[in-house]
Amino acid sequence: MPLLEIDAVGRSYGGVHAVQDVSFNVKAGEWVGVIGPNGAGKSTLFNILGGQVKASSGHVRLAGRDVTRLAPHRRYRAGISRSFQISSLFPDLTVREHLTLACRQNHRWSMVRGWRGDRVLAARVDELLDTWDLGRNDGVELPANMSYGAQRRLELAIAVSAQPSLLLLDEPNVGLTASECGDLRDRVAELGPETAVIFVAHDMDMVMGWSDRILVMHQGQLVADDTPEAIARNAFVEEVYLGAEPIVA
Amino acid sequence: MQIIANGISLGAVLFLMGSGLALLLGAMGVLNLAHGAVYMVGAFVTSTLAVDQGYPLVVAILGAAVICAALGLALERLFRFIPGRPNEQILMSFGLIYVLANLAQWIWGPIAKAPFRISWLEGAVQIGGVSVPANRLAIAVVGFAIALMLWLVQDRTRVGAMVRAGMDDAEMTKGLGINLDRVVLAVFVLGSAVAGIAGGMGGLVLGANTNQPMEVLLMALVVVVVGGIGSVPGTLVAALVIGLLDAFSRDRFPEMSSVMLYLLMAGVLVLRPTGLSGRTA
Amino acid sequence: MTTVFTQLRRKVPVLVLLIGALELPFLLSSQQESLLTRALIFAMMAASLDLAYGQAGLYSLGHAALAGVGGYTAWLLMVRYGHESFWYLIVAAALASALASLVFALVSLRARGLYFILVTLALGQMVSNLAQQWDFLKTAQAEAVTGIYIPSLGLGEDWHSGTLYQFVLVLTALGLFTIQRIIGSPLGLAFRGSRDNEVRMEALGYDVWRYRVVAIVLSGTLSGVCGALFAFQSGLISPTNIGVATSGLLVLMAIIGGSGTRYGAFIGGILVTLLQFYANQWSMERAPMIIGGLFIVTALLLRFRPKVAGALRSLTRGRVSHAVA
Repeated sequence: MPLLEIDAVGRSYGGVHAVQDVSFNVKAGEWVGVIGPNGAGKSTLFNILGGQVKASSGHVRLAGRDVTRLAPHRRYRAGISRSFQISSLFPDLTVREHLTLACRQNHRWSMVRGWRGDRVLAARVDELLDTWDLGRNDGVELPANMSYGAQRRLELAIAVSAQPSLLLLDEPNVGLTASECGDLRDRVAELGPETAVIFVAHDMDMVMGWSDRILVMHQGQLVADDTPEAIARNAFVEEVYLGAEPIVA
Repeated sequence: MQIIANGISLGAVLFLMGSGLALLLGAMGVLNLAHGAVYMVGAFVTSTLAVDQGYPLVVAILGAAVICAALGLALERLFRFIPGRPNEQILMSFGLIYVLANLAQWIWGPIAKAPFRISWLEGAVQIGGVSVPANRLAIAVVGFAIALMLWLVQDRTRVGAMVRAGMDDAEMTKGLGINLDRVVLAVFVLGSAVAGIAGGMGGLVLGANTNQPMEVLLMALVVVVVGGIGSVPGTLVAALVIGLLDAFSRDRFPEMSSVMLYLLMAGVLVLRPTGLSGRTA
Repeated sequence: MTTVFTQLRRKVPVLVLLIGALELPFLLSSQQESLLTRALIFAMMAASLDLAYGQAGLYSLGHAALAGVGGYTAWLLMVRYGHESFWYLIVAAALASALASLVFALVSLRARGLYFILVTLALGQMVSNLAQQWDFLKTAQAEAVTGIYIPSLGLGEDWHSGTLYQFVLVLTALGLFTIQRIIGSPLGLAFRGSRDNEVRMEALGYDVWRYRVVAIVLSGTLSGVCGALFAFQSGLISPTNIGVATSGLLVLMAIIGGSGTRYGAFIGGILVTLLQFYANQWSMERAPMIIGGLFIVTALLLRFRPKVAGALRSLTRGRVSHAVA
């Protein structure tokens, strides 16, 4: 059984189809890149997978369970986690507080016990600060004062802290150097061979290098679903995406 | 029958107030809770001109509209000056309510003005064998005339198209080169003039007093929440329903009358959070 | 890195301040004691409002009504039903406010963004109107209900303005401590997370709606206690006390002191209550002009607050607070 089944999913806004009749499966451990020109429906597809947008038709199943109508926080608990663009970090929370928020879901509700006093949680946060190389200033730093690379790492750190079975990455490489990007990939790979990854990116080298499979979207529809090699040879893809239009990052 | 006449005339006043509030809020994202204070100024000005100075009612109300439009201009300057965040807008609104209400008390005295008595609107008019008080009929006629006008402006004119566009997507509207600041200014001035007219007409049955900024605002915002945003007909229907409900419950359960409105609002929110017209910002 | 010593050093000034404030009655007239008691009660109300307003970002303009439910409950049980134990009345007031806040939250959270503000305003007014019109909540057709007094603690205490002040001060310190614990807990962190980025929070597995309900209920419950204290101290409570104007003042208090910071709303509450009192002394007729002016000036200057706060912080080298811009 595939980990994720997308079955004829569509979403329209007042008669305009942002995503139309999209179907594909993702196996456990598979890395899938999603490409397509701006406005092709990639973001909407991601939002449908993450639950931020409700599909107007079709079904999304995770490990056989229908999650189409599930709210985002329930999908997270079911094993789908996602990253956003950089701007989605909490502007007024420190690195430590970000990680505490991310870890706390794995703990029980502790109402008024100060989190500084919760040793298990604090130890876990320290560990994350360390593994993700975010420990500058003991983690008492606001996102705005951090480098792009560090912001990206933080974004990813909070997305993967609960060991998701499916990770959605929204343009994870924006603003990163090639070596930082490689580092990011290694970190995601450390989640284990069972974790599936779906990512959106505009950088073709990266998409070719990261993906086991590539999905091409165009005008809200899935126009190709194949291996990187086949996609590179696909004439239609070249026409709608690779050749005809300038690639905007 | 009297109840229906009361309800429809109150509904007309509420529509005039609600549409201004809804336009600013829905189209422009401006939370101007001082809109009720503009109404109060309109009511007091009309009272001075029509009752004290003896000008014809039409002249008095036009005067109120002009003064309130100028007030709207000033309010727009103030709201333009602060960042468009809830904190600032809430504080600015409350401050304006305090200052304008106190200023009105200073100018017109602490005693509330009784409903304006205009000789040619005394008595009743016979419509299809039913007797309707003339002043209430006048309020309803003016209310519906302005409703029709607003609807035409919003539906048929360039400014209206801009307002509708602003309601759908402020960013995109800016991208299209529409000057939203101008539109905000236009809505502030027009909305305030309409609030002035509402104050003048409403004064025929409600008089003028310094509690009106809050009282009228609250009824108007119930209209906005119930009617939803961005449709003149939706606001109109909500205003009429609320006017009628208020008149009816004042008659039947006076102990609970003003609570009924809010219960209606709560009910609509729970059942249909987008309001009757089905749109929210 | 936090040693016992630095923890103590943080607490010493607070304790000194508290003990100093407890001794104040030796210096003050009974009128001043009453004024300070009133200021403490309102400051506590503002601090509890800020739990929802500043921490969770729920711009509520109906908060005074939730406090009012506490006040009216205390009045009802004391005057109508003859209960005279402080503990019984205060717990009942808290429970009634908790229930009212729950309903308040369930209805108002149906609306989003600026509409939430409108709905809270309307719901607050509804409670005030209910108190105004419903005969059950009136005595002898008067607006305000009277006949309530400071109930007995059962400890043989001797109530006068000085002891009441000291008692309220202790309660306020307890309340403020509770609020600090909530702000510093994971729950408080989740409030701020929901305030800053709802979508992100949900993608991290948080049921934002539930946290918002909790924020409103906690905030309403605490202010219900304040509402009861207000009624005990004043000997009366009226629909105007719990109306929209008071809710607006509470918001002003929270923002002036620094909404979303640890002690800001509380300090703002003391300042605004004192200012309002002296404005009324100066001129009963023109006091609204001063209060209104304060609202407007605050609105105009609010954007400079991060700068001022930053300067203050570097002066005192205080800890990183959770200030909102």
